[in-house]
Amino acid sequence: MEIRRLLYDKRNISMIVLLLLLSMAMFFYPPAGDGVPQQQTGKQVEDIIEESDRYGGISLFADTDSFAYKNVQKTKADYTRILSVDVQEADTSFFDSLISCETVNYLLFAIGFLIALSYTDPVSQGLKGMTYAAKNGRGRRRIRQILVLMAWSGIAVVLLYGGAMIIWLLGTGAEGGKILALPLQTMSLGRLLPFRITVFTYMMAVIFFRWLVLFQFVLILWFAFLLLEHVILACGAVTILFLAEYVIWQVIGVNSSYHLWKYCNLWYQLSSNEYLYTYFNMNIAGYPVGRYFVIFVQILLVGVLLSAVAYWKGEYSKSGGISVRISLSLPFGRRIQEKLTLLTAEMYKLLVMQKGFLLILLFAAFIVNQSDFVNVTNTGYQDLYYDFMEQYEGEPSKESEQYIRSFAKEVNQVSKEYEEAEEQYAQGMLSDDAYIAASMKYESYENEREFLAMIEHQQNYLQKLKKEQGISGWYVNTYCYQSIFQPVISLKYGLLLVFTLLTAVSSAKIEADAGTINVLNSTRLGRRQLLYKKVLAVSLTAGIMYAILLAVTLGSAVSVYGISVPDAPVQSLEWYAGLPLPVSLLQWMILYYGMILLVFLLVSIGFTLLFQKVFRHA
Amino acid sequence: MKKLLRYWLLLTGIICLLSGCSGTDGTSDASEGNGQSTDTAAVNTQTASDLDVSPEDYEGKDYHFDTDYQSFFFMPNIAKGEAGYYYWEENDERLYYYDTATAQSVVLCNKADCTHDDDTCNAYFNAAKKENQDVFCKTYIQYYDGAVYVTGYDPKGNVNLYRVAADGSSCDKYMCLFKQNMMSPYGNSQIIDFTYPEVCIHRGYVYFINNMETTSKIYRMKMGSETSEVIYENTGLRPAVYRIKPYGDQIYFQAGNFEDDTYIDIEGGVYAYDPDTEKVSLYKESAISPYLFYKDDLYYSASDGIYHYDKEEEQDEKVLDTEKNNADFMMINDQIVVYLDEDSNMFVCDLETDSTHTIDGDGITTCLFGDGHFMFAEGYKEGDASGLYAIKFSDLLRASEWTNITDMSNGN
Repeated sequence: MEIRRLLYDKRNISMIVLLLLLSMAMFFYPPAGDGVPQQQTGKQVEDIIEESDRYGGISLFADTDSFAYKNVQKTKADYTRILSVDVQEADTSFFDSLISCETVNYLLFAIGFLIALSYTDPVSQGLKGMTYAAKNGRGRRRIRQILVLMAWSGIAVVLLYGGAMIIWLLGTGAEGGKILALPLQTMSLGRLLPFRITVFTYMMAVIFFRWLVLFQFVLILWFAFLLLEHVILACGAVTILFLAEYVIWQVIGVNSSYHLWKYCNLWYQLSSNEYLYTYFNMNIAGYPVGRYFVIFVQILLVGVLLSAVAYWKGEYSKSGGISVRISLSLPFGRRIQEKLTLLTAEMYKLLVMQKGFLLILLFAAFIVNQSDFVNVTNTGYQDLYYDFMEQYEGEPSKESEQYIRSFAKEVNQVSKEYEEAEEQYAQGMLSDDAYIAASMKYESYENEREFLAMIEHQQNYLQKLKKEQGISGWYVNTYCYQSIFQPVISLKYGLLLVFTLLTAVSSAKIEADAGTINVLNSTRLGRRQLLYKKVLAVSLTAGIMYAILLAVTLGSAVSVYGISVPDAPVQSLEWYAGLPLPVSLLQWMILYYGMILLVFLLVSIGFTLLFQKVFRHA
Repeated sequence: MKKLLRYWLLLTGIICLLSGCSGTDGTSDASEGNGQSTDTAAVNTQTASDLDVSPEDYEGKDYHFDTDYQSFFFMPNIAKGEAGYYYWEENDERLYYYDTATAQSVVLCNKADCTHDDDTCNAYFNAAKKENQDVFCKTYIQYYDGAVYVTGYDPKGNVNLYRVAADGSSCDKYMCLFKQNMMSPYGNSQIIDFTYPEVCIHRGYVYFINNMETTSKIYRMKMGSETSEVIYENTGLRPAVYRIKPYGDQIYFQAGNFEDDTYIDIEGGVYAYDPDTEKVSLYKESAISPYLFYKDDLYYSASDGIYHYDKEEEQDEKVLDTEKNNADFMMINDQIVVYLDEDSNMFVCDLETDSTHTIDGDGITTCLFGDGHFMFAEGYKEGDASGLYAIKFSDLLRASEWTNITDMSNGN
């Protein structure tokens, strides 16, 4: 019964099939950027064994208790195993591209999401109460569901990889069969993998690992649904988890002490296939352990742990999940609900009943964590720049131009003296001491030269602006504005987009879960009015998150760099030279962030309308 | 008859013993015949085979290998480990290790299957500005408390101290020294050219000078802490603070103020910071050029030679006339001094016999001096596999040129 649940969900199953077909097509027509990586062409097995012997003699790697020594010995032992393998020439390019195609991993990720989504249990439909009373409706049901998730993950991966291999075999016939029987080292990506196995066995191992990784993701997502008993919140939490994993993977170096977090990492395992074709030993309590083995054990542990908790929750937890408990303990009651207007009722449903406030808190926590309020140290020429701006920021004046002129005169004089000294010294007309004096003086003016270059660049730009566009630009300290006008394509805005989407889904889902859509449709305000209020509620929620992002971004920029003449024309900043608006920097800031807000509001409206349509007609 | 024979034998033995006692081993100056000796008017009283060197003379009072800064090296491009030396190669983004037992130089990576040519290598330390990657300083490395420390900065501009395991198996950010404004004012997201701070770790504290600041300050931070304190600030006109050399229980440094805009003549001296009292005092006025501590006494270079300063008597004593003003130098022992000229030629001077042996500086860019075992230098000679060169201290009187580190053997 459980295993057929996915098949009954026609929308999900058709999307899964579509994604599988698309993924399979990518194996045969890989996208650009998914090429087979260069695989250590300079090293041979004999070289590695020889290097191991050499390292064994180095005192640094000779301490038998050290990881380095054990790693050297293990490497030698592993590669000695394949020293006698007879590598033959064969065209294994299909298998190389099968493994190196990482775009497929993202499609598998979407498939995993759909599988997990099919196995959520909406509390509002009273299923929990009914199933709890059944003999096998508690812990055993959870275990059955986990096994079903494992099965569907496996089916998806086997259909994908196995299907591709079967198609390839049909095309190559007996020749293909022979290639499958060849040693793993025949493959370009398998050349330096120290396993005495065939290509076929290796591909089975690859399928096994991709299955494990996909199952892990599906299990985590399903567990989040189970724990929070709230699909939207669970999606939000898993998104945050993914982002955190991504950041961890980026930040931690290959040889960091924390490299366990880099490789036992959901993002890494889902998005990359590198661990499938690269030999790498991890330092586990001072012992070298193959990375593939560590990942296998980690997934096993995660699976066992989550299964145990899911079983316990199913078996012994009578009350609702975390989100329900939070709901029960909040001071809002039904009496307050009765007094709310339509809009405030929708806000209440979104923020309280659908736990939107938790989403906002999660979002705020991430944004604050990503921001920086630490004071910076300036270089010598940056100090000169700040000093100049403190005195002369604003419209170019006689005093500012006079200052630049006299400063330039002094700096150029030193440069000229140095050039003359160089020339004279080359001609033998200057003593060593005099030449050294001129050189030292020239070097001592490095900060001044850098500052002069900066300020003259700004000066020339303002003069050009006046001449070509008739705009009187101001001297503006550009540092703070570089920090204020950051690119929109970033993690922060990406997260805002995802959370806006989740909020929109949440707004549409509440009535769908309660089964009250038809009732609402029959009421006077339940059609358009309710829809407008929902759109407004979602927009307000998205607006709150945007306001948090804006406050933190601006707060960080101003606290670290200060703010310079906000009433200057916006074209005073060189990167806005082409902006055809006669506005000040402050006005442009309002417009800029206002436009971004408008975009997100439009997106939130679009998402809301879309999901309202989807859920109302489901 | 027997008695006569005994007396004869005794007399013969005495005569033989007396004839073996000689101030020399009968050989001529060891440096002769080895190339470019400048003068050999007198014979060295110390020979190549018995150059008397005590590393303790450079290390200082109560020297602790694990926690004291290795101020005997002229620059911190090299660090002495338990059984070898860690060093950077110019134009190479990898960290190297020279193993003294096997006389082998290796990349600091224990992965035998690694090709050592990309960022998956343990020894790889990115030194170029790249997006989202930390950038490491190639002019500082220090061995401290069982690990190796290097500096660098991350994409946010945090200038950090990184801790590298002694066998290179791990590298982690240890602490943040300060945050630098890395933005270019031109608004094109460029990062400015960064000048690394002068850093040293000594007995639980990090001392550093931020060379990008206009003010001249020395900061101190407890290892692993997040806050720094200023222990010295030079607030005068045209200030300078440089050459921090922790030695024993004191932190020595030079500070002064340039007299004019030529930034040549400086009024200053050697200062001492006492971590216990947290006070800075002037140790020796006018000592503004290279200096070092040998057997707990200050030696410094001046325009006319090398001087020894007796702190108790407050007296200077000229040790050696040098051909080069303000020369970089090192005391080998009480008798032998080495110094460099502008071409990196090294002059090994015997103070007793007033003789000098020259080591050719061809291909050498920087001499790092040494720890009483090896003298090191950086440079490049065509055909050589490494940019690090060395001479054993015991060979100083007979070597005529530097040997590439990859050509050093146990027998040499």
